[in-house]
Amino acid sequence: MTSSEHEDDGSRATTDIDRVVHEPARLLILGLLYVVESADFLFLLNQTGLTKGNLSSHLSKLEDAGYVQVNKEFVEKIPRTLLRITPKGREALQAYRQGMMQILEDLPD
Amino acid sequence: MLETGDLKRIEQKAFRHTLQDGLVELTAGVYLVILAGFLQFTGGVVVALALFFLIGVPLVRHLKNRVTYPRIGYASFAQGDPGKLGLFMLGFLLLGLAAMVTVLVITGDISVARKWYRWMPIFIGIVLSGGFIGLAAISGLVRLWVYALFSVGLGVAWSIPRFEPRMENISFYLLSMGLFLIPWGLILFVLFLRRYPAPAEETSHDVE
Repeated sequence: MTSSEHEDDGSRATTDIDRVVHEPARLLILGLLYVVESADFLFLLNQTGLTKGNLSSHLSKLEDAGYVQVNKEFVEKIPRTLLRITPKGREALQAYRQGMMQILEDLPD
Repeated sequence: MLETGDLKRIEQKAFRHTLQDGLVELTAGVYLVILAGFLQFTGGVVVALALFFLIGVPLVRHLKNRVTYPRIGYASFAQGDPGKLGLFMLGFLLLGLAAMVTVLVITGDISVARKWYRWMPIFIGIVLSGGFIGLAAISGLVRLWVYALFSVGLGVAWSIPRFEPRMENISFYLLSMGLFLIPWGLILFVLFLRRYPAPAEETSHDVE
């Protein structure tokens, strides 16, 4: 591969990065939801250290992108909003990981 | 987040978060004491086991819903590969059995059935330690490794004295293991309540 082909690949990889996932807070949220079956807002708040408004905003973006699913249910008469990563969200996180690994591997020594 | 190890650390941290209330220790400790009582005074464990599933498990779930989750939030974890879990538990059962049989052979008690009960604490200790080690592997909590070691050590310790009637060793093991776990659980629970005061309202937080 010539250096210009290398640069083209690098640029393409950079532009292919999913900006929804790339934001550090959203990356952490997706990572958390990736390892649990489901979690509520308060759990994510404690684990991420974000403010309520910040977390809400990021969750809305992830929900709009179809990466996170929000369900409301009642447990012992207490309402609970549960968040789950969707299959699309899992694929997005995995694709992001592969893309970033590729970019880092292509870095010159 | 690029390595599998990062996700593993996130999972461990999340799991540790849910164990900080001390309810595992508290309920396990209380249950072991009750089991010891049943064994000692009725000689049977079937009722105790039934109580565990009919009352114990729902009680823990209720406490978690009312006390723990409103304070630190709720998360459910994947059950894990049932095959692997089964193999893990079977492994510790067999290990416990092997340890007990080894001791029986060495002491010559293997030929006398009523003497087997004396060495049962070793078996129970190893099996219990398997549960703690499993939780420790998922959460990375050091104190669970301590419980596992203590469980085995206590099993050995309560197998040494010769008691009559034959169930005494087992009862004393269960009682002492329970009395060891209960204070731990209480301390963790009190620290948990102090660290996470009761929420102002019992409502969930909605995504805005």
